[in-house]
Amino acid sequence: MLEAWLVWLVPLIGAPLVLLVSFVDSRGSKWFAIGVSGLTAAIGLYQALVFSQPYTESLGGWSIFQAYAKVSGQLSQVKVLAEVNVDGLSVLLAAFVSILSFVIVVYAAGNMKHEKGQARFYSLVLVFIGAMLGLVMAGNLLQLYLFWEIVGICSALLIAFWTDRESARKAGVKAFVVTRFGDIALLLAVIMLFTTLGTTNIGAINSSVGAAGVNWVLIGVLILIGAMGKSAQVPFHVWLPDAMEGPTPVSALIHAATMVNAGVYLVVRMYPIYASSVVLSTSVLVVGLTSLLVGGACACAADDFKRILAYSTISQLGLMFAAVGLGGVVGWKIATSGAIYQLISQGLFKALAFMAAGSVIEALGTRKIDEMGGLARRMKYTYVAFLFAALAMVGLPPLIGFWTKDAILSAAATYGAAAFLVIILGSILTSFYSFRALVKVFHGPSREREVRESGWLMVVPMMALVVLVVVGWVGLGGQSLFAPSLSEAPSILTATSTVAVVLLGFAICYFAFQARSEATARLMQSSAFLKDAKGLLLEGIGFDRFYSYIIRSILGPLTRLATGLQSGDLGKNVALLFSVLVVLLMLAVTGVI
Amino acid sequence: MASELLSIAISAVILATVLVALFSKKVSVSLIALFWASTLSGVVFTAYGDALVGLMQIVTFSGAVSVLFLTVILMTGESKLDIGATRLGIMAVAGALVLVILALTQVAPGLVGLSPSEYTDVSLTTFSFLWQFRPWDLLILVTVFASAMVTVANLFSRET
Amino acid sequence: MVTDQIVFMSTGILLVFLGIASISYSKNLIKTVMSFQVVLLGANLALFSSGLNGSLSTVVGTRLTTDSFVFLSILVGASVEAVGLAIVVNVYRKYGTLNPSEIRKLRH
Repeated sequence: MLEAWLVWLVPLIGAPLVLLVSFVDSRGSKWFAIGVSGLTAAIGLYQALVFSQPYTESLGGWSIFQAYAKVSGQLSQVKVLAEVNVDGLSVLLAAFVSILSFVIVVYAAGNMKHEKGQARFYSLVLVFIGAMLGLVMAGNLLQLYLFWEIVGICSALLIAFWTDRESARKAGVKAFVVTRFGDIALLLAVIMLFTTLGTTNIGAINSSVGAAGVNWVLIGVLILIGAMGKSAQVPFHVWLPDAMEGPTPVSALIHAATMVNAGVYLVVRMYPIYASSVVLSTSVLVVGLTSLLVGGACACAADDFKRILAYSTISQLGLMFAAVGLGGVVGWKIATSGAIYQLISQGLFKALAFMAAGSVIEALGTRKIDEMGGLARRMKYTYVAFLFAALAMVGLPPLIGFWTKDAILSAAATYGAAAFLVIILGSILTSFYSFRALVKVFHGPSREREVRESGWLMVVPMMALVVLVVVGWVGLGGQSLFAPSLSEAPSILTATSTVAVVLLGFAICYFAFQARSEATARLMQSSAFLKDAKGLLLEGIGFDRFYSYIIRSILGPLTRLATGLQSGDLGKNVALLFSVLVVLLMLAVTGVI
Repeated sequence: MASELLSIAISAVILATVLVALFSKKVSVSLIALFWASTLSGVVFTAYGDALVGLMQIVTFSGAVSVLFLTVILMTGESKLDIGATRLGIMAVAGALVLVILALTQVAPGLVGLSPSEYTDVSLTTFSFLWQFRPWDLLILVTVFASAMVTVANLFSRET
Repeated sequence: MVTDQIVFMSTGILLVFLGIASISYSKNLIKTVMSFQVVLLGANLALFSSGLNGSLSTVVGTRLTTDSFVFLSILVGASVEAVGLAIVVNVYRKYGTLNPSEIRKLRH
């Protein structure tokens, strides 16, 4: 009852209090943030444990804001309330987000020890946690959109956390602008729903899918574009690799585990819309598969540790979208539960991978994997963490990634050979880049002599996540939410193909980067094809260049027009005034105004 | 007939003087032309019955204001100015267009103007006294348009 | 057909818009104030002519009212010009130039 509201109100209230605490004691902000996020995690866990029946609750009798909408042709006053939707999906995700956020905030306390501006960091993180939880628990689309926007702003501000770095500032602006396109599409969908249906309540919308007079296909497409923007799917994926300019806890929390999952959550939440049309589900599938391949390919070539993980996130999110898109064939309960299970496992192992990356980057001071090596002996805990994260990512049984990948693969096999092969190819790419990162960073000759393991504040969260990754499938597999997707035991075909892909990737990487690394280096230097391919993949297959070209060609003439109009010249100002007066007069004469 | 000819003649001279005042390169010439234009305007006012207004016009504009201009010009030094050939061309074209339409409104009002009966219902009451000038709507609009063209051409010109 | 009222009205309108265009075009601030005076000239002519006998008379078009309007307009216009010239003098003292293109704080 109350906890459904508290779970997202507590962090939001705690955020400004962090600033107050920091005035009193400059180092107290991180302990206070840990406390608040721990309280949130406790509330989320409690809510998950006591959940029994789905229900929605709204702040009755007290409308947050009122809106007028044309409902069936007549103007009527419609109240838009703050609503909370408590069902299995939202409770599970709320628990997941709050617990993971707590772990990452503890990690951040260790990682960001030496940074200035800690109060700003922790308050922004708490606002983010509160908004993400509010998004997950939202009962109507307008509230979800509000929190969607707040999450986007927090993400952009946290990416640009180091305001003295120009690359960070540009990356923050880029993230915000690119996701803006998705946000506009989502807003259009919400407005369309509001004006044609008269309500944005999610339950009401889902139960009236297929009603006449509402363009469901268009609404589905717009919501999908919104989800693509937030979840960094092709062609809106260009912001996520650059978002790695932010601090590592930000990358772990926002860009691996929670915010980028908001798009998948939205599509899953509104799945009746996608179930109603083959066009929609196929487009979801296509979007997912494309991002799977593009993300995987670019991750294979990236040289920056965090960029590899960013592209890997894009790829895994594509896998989730593909899982949802397969619902038309295997049944929507199975597909959506598979996607959510994959979401949770992706969140866990990607956050773990980012934490390990952050620990390595903090210790070495560089982000390029070519300058790393041989850390397995010196940073044992970090090595264990990243090892398990990589193994879970490629889907080695019985770690948590295996079950979800297997479920998706079997669904794809039912759909058709093409989808199955594409996902297998994506798995090969996943295996390749995961082991490449593992081998290059942790094996091989070590270049630095003085490397120490990170402090306990960073190691303990990593170990906690390792435990979850290893044994999480036991607890989560029994969840009723995931039962449909795990109803079938792993088939021989999918299990063996997964294991074969894992071993193949490991073998290739071991030989290429560990045993015969000099031969690989010489091959890369000599082959023009390989160099061109790598160069193309490094710049993201031309997406960035294409977008910059479009922006430049639009902004150029507009800039010239604007500087011509606002030149500060007295004569031109008079002329402009007079012309506008003339135009208004003529409009008045002809009766337009 | 005579008074019309007189009015046409005086208006033409006023126009010519004003054009000289606006287009000349030297400010002193401009000042003298403006002085003449104001005086002629005062003459017009006097000739058409209102001596008081005419006297007022001559005393303030041709008298005090011209002396003020003279003082300011002497204080700031005479400066040369150049209006540029392209703008002269545009202005000439705009002026010719205006004159053509002026002539048309006289010769064939049905062609360019709207007959008075068309504007029976007037939506704007505050400006209604303007809409009494039925055939002159187009004249006003075209003059407005032409000078707007001229000023907009100034906006997008290369010279700053 | 061409009454003197029509002649003066058209001259007045022409002068108004010539003056406005010239305000925009002038490269000398004194010329700007002069073109403003041209505008006033045209407006007064037009206002005066609306009181004459003819088809362009206004609703309130008795001679007395329009003549007093013209009177007031001359008064106010002269005051405005005087203030404008005072501003021009101060601008010249501060910037040293009377070219409005050189007196600009906005960067390109």
